[in-house]
Amino acid sequence: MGTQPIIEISGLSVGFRTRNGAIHEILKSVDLHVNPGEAVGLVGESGSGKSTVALAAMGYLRSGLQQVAGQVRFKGQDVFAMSRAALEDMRGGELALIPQNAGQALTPTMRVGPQLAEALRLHRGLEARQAQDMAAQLVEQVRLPDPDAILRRYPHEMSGGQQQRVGIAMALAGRPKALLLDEPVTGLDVTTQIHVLDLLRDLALSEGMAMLMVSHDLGVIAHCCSRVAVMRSGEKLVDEATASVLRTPRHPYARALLDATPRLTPVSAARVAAASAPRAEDTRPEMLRISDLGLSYAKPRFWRAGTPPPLTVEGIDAVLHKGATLGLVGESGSGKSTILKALAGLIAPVKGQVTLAGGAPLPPALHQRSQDQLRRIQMIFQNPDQALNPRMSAADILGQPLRLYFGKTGQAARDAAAALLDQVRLPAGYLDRLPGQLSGGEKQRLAIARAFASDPDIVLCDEITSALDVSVQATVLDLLADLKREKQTTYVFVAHDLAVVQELADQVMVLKNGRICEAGPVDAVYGAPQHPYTRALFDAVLEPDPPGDTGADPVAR
Amino acid sequence: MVELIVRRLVLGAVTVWLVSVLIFFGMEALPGDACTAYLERDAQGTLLDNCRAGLGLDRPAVTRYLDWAGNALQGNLGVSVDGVTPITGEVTLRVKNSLLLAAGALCAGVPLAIILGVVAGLWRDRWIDLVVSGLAIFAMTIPEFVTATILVLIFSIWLGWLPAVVLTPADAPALEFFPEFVPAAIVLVFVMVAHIMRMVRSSVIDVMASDFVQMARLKGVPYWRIVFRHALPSALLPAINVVALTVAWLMGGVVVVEVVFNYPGLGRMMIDAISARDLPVVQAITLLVAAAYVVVNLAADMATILLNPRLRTQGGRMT
Amino acid sequence: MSVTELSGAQQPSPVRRAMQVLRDVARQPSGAVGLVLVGLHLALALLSPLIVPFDPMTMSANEILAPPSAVHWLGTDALGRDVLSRVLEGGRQAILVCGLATPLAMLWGGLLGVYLGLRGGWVDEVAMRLVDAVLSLPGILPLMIVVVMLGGGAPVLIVTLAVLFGIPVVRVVRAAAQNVVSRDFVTAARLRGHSQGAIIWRELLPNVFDVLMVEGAMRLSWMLLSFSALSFLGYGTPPPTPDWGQDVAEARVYMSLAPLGVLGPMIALSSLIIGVNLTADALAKSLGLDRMQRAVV
Repeated sequence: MGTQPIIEISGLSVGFRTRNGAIHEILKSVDLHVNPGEAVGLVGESGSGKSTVALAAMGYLRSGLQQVAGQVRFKGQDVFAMSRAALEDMRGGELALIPQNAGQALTPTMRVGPQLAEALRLHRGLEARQAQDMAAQLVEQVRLPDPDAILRRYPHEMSGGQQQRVGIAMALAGRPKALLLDEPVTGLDVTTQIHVLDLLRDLALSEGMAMLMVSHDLGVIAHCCSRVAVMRSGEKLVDEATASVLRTPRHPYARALLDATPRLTPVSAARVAAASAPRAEDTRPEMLRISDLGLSYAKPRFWRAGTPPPLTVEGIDAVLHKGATLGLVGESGSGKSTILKALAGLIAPVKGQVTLAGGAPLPPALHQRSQDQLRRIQMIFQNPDQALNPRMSAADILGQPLRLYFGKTGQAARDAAAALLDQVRLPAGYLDRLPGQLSGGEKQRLAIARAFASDPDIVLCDEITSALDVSVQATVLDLLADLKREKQTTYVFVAHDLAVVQELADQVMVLKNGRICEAGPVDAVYGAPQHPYTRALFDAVLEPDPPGDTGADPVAR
Repeated sequence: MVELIVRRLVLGAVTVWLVSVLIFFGMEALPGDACTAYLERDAQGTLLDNCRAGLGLDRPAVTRYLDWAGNALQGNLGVSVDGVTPITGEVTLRVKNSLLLAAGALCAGVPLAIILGVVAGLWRDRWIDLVVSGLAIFAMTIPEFVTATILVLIFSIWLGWLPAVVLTPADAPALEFFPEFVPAAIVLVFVMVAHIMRMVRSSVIDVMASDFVQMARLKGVPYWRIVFRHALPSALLPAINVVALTVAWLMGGVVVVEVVFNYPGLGRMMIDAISARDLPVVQAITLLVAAAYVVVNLAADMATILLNPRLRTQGGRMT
Repeated sequence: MSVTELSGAQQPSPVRRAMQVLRDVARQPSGAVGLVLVGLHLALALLSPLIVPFDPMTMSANEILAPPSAVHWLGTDALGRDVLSRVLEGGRQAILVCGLATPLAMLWGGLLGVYLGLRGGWVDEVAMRLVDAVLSLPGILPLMIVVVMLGGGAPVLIVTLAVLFGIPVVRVVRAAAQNVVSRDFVTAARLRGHSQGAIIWRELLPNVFDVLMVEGAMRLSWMLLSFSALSFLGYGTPPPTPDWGQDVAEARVYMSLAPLGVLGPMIALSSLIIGVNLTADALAKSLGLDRMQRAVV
């Protein structure tokens, strides 16, 4: 190599002092270097310490954390030994950070223009007038339309993608030699995500910037980085060329991570044909029929009594047979969760109807539905922390539906609860635990057990794995598949991750702005997408494939 | 934004109306009326009838309410229970005096409170914060009459620097109150600073821990520039509402302080009216103070809407 | 993460949790001081009739405004009554009235607040306007009017204080309940079709209980302030009974001659309120609610 690394972390240990005075290390002797112009990825699950490493590269530790051992050097200088003035000079100057959520990271009371100009004045020593002109150039550089208008906006007046681009422009203000990126596209829609990543990659190339990119998503790393480091609970396990990690992972954890990452499976032409062909009548009993469903969030107002409210969701049709799974996919604002809420009874439809098991149409409002109708439709939520009452033990949580629907109390309820825990592969010893004493994955299993406690016909799943780490996500998806096989339950499954939907669903509905773009058997839609939007969605999916292989259509291969 | 402001205005009007109903019919519901209360043991026969006729108490309650509310809207607060003294004139005088006291306390208290709150928040858990926050707990919890009595004991009796009570008559020109109202104002400042300072402190702590302040640090913005340019505009917004609550409190709740220092303000007038069982005066003052409370809070909401870009530039709801 | 979290598979029990919280309060310096002060005053309120050196109501014409002495440690007041005895017994009325009114205020305010938080809609809207209206009434005025019209006996005061101080509780608990209602476990319970009562009892109340406790402690301190102001203005406890607020008002006149006559009851009163406040602050901190914005009412 010969060149000196621009960022060099050696033997870095970071920890916090616990109540009894001992130091608890959250980074254990981490070594990592980034060469000038190189793009390095840092992956790991939550709690692996990857963000702490990135922030430490700037000489910044979150409050409560302290450096225990080791060093961090930027261009050969020890950042933890720098003076305040030197740090202020480096941060946002030669070493810039792009935060995870630019919406939160931009000062809400300042317009974008002055914020950019401030960075330019601080790090390039520009006069106020020059700084303004330069700010407009930066905004153009991050490919935002109408720079003058953007500069006059407040952060909250922009979309998530625009905010993230402004965050990038801010980082470019100091002409950095190296960029630190902390989950730069997490929270953005897939189609926006790929544009932002491409922009970053192009800028890094044209400006000769080094990048250290933190992400939980192997696909994102694969798209941008030539080398990747894998971390787990504060330790760096792997540090190799991206291609070799993705092709032939040698470390068992890297392999496990790669295996757990859901990927789109190519669909053979034969299966596409089979799925597209008109098929014989489904012999399974019909469980759910959605006809011409229209939903609106607009509150009825007496002064607008005559005019119908604008529809957020319109023209949704679907028929689901027993044991089938319908996947609803789309970006944020596509209306997929809204449809789920209407099925559950949380939003009364303004148009159309929902029919359960060939019976009479379901009453639109929750309180009009009978107890049996309520029992037969259950819902599992995105965030298990929110979905479980923190003051109830697992036995009580499961006991609620058991008592309500089946009149089980006391020992009978406890036995039934233990059986339910067993079904979701949790030990019976967990009966007396509070949700706070369970891990994220265990909480979601408990939530699944609660849904199945009602012995439901239909289970509505709202992004149920998106708050979980990939390895946990894989086990939860397996569990759902097993339960479906055992109980012939019908799922309506909402997810933004196309690969997850492919794994679980047999029918899929692609939504955009509350309308159906494309619907049909999973093999048909995934194998031969017809609608341009569906194709755009598939193209934007980032698969953890070695660099060089990307760009090709992952499905058609 | 317009919808938001209109909504606030309507809500404010509804609240004032509800208050007037509450005051009027609340007093109606209590046993006895203005005349029986006023005349006490003599409340019988022609004396009572004359008094009732004089105040129009022989008419149905709803009619009297409409009359009362209608007149109040036009600035006429009715007559005292003796049937002759118009309330509006005396009240105007007292409002002026109370405002004088409030203005004095505010001018000294608000800047002091904000500075102390910012300092305590920035140096959280350091000695200066511990001292300021500790004093604030004392100032908030010790009853006003205790603070006032201690002040009188120290400055008037032991040191002899300040007068113990205000002897100026209610209708004296504002300047004549000047040296005498200082102890009363000090007591108010003491309590007020504690409340505002605690609010500002916690708001500063929250904002300094926010993502955008951390980001400003990580893009190399110097510390004091972060404080003044990035953090304080957000941190001081919630202070507007607390200041408004304080103003409202100053306008009506300072009965005790006015009594201790014999200050001829609205609070004193109110307690005198209560001791004299002069219900029309009590009703009038209550309505006035409640309306002021609503107006001041409304003004604070408006100021927040105008100063907060999030609310100003879109029809967002305040949370 | 949080070190105070229950570890292992312990059976969660309300009693154990209460003990844990109490320990956390006592561990903070402010909480320890607060608990000691409150405990001291409670003990005094219960035991003072047994330990006072003199009957606090016995007047003595030849010992008027006597300076402190071996017999009368804090001297005597204008009617020749022993100041120390009056100070020791002067908090009983305040503690009795506020001690009973606070739980009542928490009970009705808490239940109504939780109900409104769940119910929402026009009922909530109307109720909140009423709450706003009452809160806009000036300070202790409603209290004084009721006392003037109905007389100031302990039962009247308890009920009035409970009603008036329950109103801010409604507001705070409603906000806390709304926060809980927006979480998915309440949605799940509604989707299952539980009754409103069951949702309030099992899902909401346990989760707003902490807020209610902190609010109750804060209300108690405000109530003591209002009660003392009321008796200072002469509308509290009827005269011969010792009462700090009223004794301060009476002794103020002779304050240059007998400063201990005002200092005694003032220190006693302030230490009680400060104790309650410190305990409330420490309680909020140990329950993680100290960042909650509290309205200045």
